[in-house]
Amino acid sequence: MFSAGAESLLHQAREIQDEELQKFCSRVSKLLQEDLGPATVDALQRLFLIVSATKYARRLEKTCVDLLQATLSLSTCSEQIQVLCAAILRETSPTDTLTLSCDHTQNPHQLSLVASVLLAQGDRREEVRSVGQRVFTVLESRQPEGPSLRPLLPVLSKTMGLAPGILQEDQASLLSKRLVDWLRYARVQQGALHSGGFFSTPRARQPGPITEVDGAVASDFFTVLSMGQHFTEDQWLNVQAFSMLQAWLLLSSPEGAGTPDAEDRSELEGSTLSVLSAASAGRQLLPQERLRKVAFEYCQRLIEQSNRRALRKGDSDLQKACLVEAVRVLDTVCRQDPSFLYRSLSCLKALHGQLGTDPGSERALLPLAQFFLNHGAAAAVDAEAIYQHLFSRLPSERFHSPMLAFEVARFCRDNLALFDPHLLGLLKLSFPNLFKFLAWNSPPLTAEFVALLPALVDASTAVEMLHSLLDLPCLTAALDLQLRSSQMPSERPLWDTSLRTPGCLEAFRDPQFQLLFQHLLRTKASGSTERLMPLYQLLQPMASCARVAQCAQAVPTLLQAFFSAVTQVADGALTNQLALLILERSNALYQVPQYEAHVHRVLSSWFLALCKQKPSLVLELARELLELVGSVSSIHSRAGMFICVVWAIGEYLSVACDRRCTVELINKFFEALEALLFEVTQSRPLASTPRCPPQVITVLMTTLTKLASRSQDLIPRVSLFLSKMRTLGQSPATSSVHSEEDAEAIRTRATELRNLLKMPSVAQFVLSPSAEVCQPRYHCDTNTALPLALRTVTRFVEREAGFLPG
Amino acid sequence: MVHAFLIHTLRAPKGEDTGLCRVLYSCVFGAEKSPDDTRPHGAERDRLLRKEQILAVARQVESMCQLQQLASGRPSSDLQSQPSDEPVALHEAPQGVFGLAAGDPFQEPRTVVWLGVLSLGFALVLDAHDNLLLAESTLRLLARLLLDHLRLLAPGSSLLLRADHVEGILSRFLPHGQLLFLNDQFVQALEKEFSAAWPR
Repeated sequence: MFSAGAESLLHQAREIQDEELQKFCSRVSKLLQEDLGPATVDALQRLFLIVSATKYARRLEKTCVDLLQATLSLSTCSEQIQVLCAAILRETSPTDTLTLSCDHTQNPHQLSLVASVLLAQGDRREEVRSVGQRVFTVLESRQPEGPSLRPLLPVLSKTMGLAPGILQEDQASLLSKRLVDWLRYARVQQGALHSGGFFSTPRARQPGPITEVDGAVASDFFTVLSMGQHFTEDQWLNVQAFSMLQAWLLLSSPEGAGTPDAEDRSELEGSTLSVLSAASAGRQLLPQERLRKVAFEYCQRLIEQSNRRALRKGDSDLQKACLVEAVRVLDTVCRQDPSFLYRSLSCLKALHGQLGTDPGSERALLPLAQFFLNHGAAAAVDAEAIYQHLFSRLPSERFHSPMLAFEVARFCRDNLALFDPHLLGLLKLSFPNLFKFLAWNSPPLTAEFVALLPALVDASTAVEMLHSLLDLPCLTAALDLQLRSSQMPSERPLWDTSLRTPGCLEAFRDPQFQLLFQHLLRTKASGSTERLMPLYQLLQPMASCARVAQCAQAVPTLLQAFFSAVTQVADGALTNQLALLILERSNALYQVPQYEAHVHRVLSSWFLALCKQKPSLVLELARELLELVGSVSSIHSRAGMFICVVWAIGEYLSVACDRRCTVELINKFFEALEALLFEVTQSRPLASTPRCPPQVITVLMTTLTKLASRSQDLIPRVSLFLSKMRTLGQSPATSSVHSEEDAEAIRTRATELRNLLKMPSVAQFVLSPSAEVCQPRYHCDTNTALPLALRTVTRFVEREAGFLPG
Repeated sequence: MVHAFLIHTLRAPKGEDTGLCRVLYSCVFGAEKSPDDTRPHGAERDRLLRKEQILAVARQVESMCQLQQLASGRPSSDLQSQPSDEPVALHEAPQGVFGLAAGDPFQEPRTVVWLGVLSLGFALVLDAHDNLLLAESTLRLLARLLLDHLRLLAPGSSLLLRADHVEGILSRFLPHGQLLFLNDQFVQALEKEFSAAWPR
């Protein structure tokens, strides 16, 4: 493990100086020339550490580098040394001084080592192409008794992945032919036991037959799920060929027209499927077509083999991975050649029923859903059951599997363009269920859901979704309780065993709260909203649970994504509903530490954004807003929210924003705000009332001034109030409430506002500017610029003040 | 195909260890295409970028692992060394997956599958459309092989000076980043080959 000794070793390796390194390089060079034994291995291991330990480049002596390159290709030294040389060269890459080339390498194993260094150069000198071509040359010139070709296929796969166009058509055909051989015609007997040498018995044991995973004798051709004691070369190549099959099928499919496959495809489109397979049976298949046929047969066999009960756990895991791959390959094959569709469907139809019985097998549901998404329409098959399983059952049963959660979220994200309106509707309605993945596995899934939310947001479910997002930590707690109450005691617990909450568990099982918990854990959007306030108190002990806290941290990000998306589709009525919801819910949140503060910040900024988008919002919600500003408790419970609301009132309660704004309404708001301001500044504060933040006071003053500038009868009242504010903090009653800086800031603001009100038309211009004032032109023109106007006013007022007492 | 494999340190969540996350071993299988950089030292900048990309992945894996440990309530003593005679239950070790957006930090969007064993983290950086189930079982296999052959559980052992063992295992079980469908028998055969070629 990572001990102090290892830390100091790493430190030494990073700190080694250049000249010491060069000395070490000369020592290594000497060792490489003389002796390739344990001392050399040790030195090379140290050199590797030195080179790889730091992210900054290490310059190695040229002779050393040349010797490393030479030793790499030396067939007489041990694999260990060859691998070390390759690793060192790879770790110093990319480098401009490399002279290594693969042009004359014949041996597949050496070629693999050289390739690992060349492919790390970043394709600055077309290394990928030269490696690919070289691999092909060796592949073509294969001798039956020559060295094993096993190292070559992965190199080929990697080079094609890096640079898809390197193979020419005839080379691609050759590879397809070879793959067909290896996939379909690997022998079904085990490899022979190597004889033990001079003293072994002359009669070697007869190799037995290959078996299936459940021990039965192999019923058909060799696949990755075939068992044996010793494997032959072609069986190894079978495994590698299947491992690269999906990638090769995708890379080798022709893109443009004018190639044989494209012609076939355009012929096949629109025709019935069974007729096609008969029509193409007559002529000889092209290599690519043969490969698809063999791929189909291989996958069909794998699906059958996956049904068998494996004797070993490792094989059982492999069966599931093979199932996923088989469905993926079938999907690709059918996309390239629709004539396989009919047979694939009969193969896959039965598969859905078998999934879900064995934990881990439901992972194959995703490629299956992908298959039906790609081909369901063409085959006129109703894949409804699969989508229902995916969106309705899977999240409620397996939300605790982080891998599955990720795959489902990715599936939705990647395929949105393919969803037809019905499926998209189903997805949107299933959001409460999908949120279970998010609530349980927030750290990895937050980014995925932020990308997915715009697709899930719908005008009809937006309000419900906002409630769900705000209650997400609550959902996490409820899921935890669900697991505790339903899991078998013998199974390994999936919940946090360090947290014991017997009270919450009882509440979960209490019939009184059944309805609320059921609503929280629903699988489909219900169209109605339940107020979950009773649950917040019940679940309070779980608010300190780490998983709940992690979910709570993710919610502000999700809210941002939600609002960005919903403001694109919201009409006037929905905007009003959302604004009301913000006001209502800011007071009703599950009390996770710091959750409320972060959520308030997001909600208040989006409240303002909604007002900006729809200025008449303030007017239409006048009643609710009046209620909010009517009581002092709003200030104490949600100061940030309150400040934004008051500011919004000041900005948007005007005739310019909505013609229906009346003087009465302005006066009503004025009185409410004035009363509030009086209460927080003038009245004697009790020891128990929390301190009112100075921003609240200043925003109240500013808003009152703004309203007064619109309904000018109010100006004398405001001016009087503001002059009283100038003595704030100077009376013994209020001096202890605010710090000197805060009091000073408030007094300054009061003075500025009062001065502004002395020139009512200027006040109106400054505080309630018309839309044109926001144009830059207005401020560039020196005759109309705002700063100029303000300066003029100030000078005027100061001159006036000089003549007035006090 | 796998783009990179890395092994790095994992610190316990909320531990007193204020050190850094260290990458103990990394192997990038075939680099992303270097940008056309004609300035001098372009190659060095390229290498620096690659190292930083790997470190970024390691840090993300560490934080994901710590978060998962906290969420599942496993005591942090789990991440300390345990007596070497107990086999590590890899099926119960913390594991997970997360996505990397294009440009952050790799050019292409990629997926990371990770596994935490005691105080070591193992991670595979995959292309966006790889077989995730196969990647998970390959990662578990690699972890098991490395723990067994390098005897990483024994006190005082370190993999820093035995990177060639890691390379040997990778060249057989994840050659050039190719995920292989290996059943138990194939794995045993490859293990025998490896043990024969590499002295302990």
